[in-house]
Amino acid sequence: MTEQTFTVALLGNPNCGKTSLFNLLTGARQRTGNMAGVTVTGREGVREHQGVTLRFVDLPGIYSLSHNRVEERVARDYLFETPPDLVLNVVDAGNLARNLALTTQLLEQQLPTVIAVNMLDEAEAQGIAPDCDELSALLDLPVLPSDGRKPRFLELLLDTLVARLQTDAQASVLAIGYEKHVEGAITRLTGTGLERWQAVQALESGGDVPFVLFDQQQALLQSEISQLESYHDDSAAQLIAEGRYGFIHGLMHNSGSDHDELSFAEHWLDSVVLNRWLGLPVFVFLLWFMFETTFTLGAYPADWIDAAVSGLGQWVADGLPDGLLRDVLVDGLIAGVGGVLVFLPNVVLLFTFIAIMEQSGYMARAAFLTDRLMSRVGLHGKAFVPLVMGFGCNVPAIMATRTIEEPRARLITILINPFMSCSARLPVYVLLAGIFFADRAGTVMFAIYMLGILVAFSVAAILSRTIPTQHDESFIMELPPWRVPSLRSLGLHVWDKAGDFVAKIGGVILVGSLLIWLLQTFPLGAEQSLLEQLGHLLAPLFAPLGFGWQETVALLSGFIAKEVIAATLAVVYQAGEQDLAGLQAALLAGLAPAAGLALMVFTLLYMPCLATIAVIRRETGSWRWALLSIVLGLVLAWGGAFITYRLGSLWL
Amino acid sequence: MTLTDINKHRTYRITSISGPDELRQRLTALGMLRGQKVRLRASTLWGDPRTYAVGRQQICLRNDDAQCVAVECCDD
Repeated sequence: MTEQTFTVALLGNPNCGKTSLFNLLTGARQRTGNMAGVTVTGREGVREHQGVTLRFVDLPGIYSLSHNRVEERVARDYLFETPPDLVLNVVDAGNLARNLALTTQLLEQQLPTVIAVNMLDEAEAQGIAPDCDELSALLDLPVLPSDGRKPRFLELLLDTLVARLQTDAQASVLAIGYEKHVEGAITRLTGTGLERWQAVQALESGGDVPFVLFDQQQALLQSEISQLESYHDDSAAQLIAEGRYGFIHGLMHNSGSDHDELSFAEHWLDSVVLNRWLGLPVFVFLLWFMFETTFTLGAYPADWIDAAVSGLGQWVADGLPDGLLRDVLVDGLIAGVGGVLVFLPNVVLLFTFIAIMEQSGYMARAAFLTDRLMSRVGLHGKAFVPLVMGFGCNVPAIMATRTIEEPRARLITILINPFMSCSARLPVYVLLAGIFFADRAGTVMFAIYMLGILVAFSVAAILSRTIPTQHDESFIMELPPWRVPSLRSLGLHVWDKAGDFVAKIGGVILVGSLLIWLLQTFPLGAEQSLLEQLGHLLAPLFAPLGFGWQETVALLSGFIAKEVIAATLAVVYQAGEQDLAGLQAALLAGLAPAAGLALMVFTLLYMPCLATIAVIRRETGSWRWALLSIVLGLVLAWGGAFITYRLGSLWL
Repeated sequence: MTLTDINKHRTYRITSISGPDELRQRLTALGMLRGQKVRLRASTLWGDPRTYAVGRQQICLRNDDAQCVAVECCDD
């Protein structure tokens, strides 16, 4: 039996349910991976149907093939350089006209296409569902209903794909009649050897095309474009778009689906959420609710994990004879990995909330509400959510910056994220504020968080003036319609993130905690461990801040994970970890109050933990930015702690 | 009259779109074209950015960009 393999590319507007359909089509056998050389991720997945292997490629969501945006180039170049056997064009039934504009480009280019009409139930509910058969007859290609959230149409869709692939049918050419000056330009361009679709695409994109244009063609093109511009007030791209929409309105008139009312849900939800006066308070409340739930609800499973890990540690400790093997397992491996695992429930909850916000359409609305605030410091409205997530943990927060498309705004958001005080730093504040400022602990902690926000925004303001601006800094965004998130894709999404967290970050933490263990343990039997020697060595650097070698070592260990700082302080001050009162007395005796405050400031600002650095490196794709983040943090922390210590010494 | 001047309770029609090519291309891609009907949907505390309903879509624009879209009132 010879097995055939075909490539099917999924293409459609952003937010038309393409990825849900992709997940459904490729099922459990999907594998994810970055497409070569691009920043926008494209995914691939395989499915067998009727003895044929279908390789699905999920291209980035785009509005057009010719508007020179990064993701559009990715899709356009892919379609031109490695033409798939079939394009599965996913369109949103609720917004057919704009979705079909992309379809007309595919058809002009004579790409074999099958249309999947998504979100039909939504459109049906609003009485604007298109007639698929009618559309199919008008466009002369298969048009099928589909639903990325329910498998009910899947079989029919797969049957049609396979049938289409095996019939070898010639794709029909679509020739839209454009405005007469545009047609004139097209005729002159095709006279130089270009095909019609190439001429149209070149005019539409201003010459930024995947195929080669000779110098003389390029020159003709530019003169045609400026001529069109002078005949009309509109650009060639606008004239061509008008032609497309004219054609589409003709189609829709025939298939009786031209209607432009917003749905009821959109009306009343948006009138609350986007209300000029209520919008921001509602947003702040939702954020507070998200944190409250993440940390209160997450505390229960976190406790179970903690109990399980210490149970395991106890079991191993009891089961193994005294010695290095036992120590490395219990104090190094189990303690280290367990310390990270404890945060898994929080991470999962936080990501569930974020995913719900994203899939329901609220995230876009939050971006809209905060855009003004953010733009003051060179950030994008979409930066607000990752920044607030940073209060939980910087690692998922930095991963969440992926929702920001503008690279510069995203980079700044990544770099300032570590200044948003993550929950791992909380134990240090609680410990120190409790000792030195017992009666004002709450106020001191609130001030520390505010200081973090202040520093983050100042750094953003400075960075936005130093990192070169790209011309693409506008905030043009479509508000997606409200949608009920599907459990399936929610689950997949969160599972993915949780896996990321455990696998990648767990690896880094594992290595790091083994390292600290080594430094604390060796040389065996010596008076000072390597860690202590290191502390003494570096202590002069921290002396101006009022820190001793103990604080130095604690801060060093906090590089692995900030939670470790409090634990290290406990160990080096020779107090049993269970005995909090003993530790407090020892610290109070060993450290001035001003130095205590300085230590909190230092903990807030200094370099991100290992996991955060790893994720900065991964998300920015360069060690340069990770290094900058470290240096920036250290400099600000040292300066901040110095000022705090000096000023504090005067008053405290 | 441009998009920045419009009133929330009336309907308008786009008469022309000017501004840098980049902006025109992006608006075109979203289906914001001459002849389309537009309504003001929402505005933030600062009055910038705002959301406009164009057909069945809602599009957010900063006022700097919205200024490039000329409109006329077309209420009946």
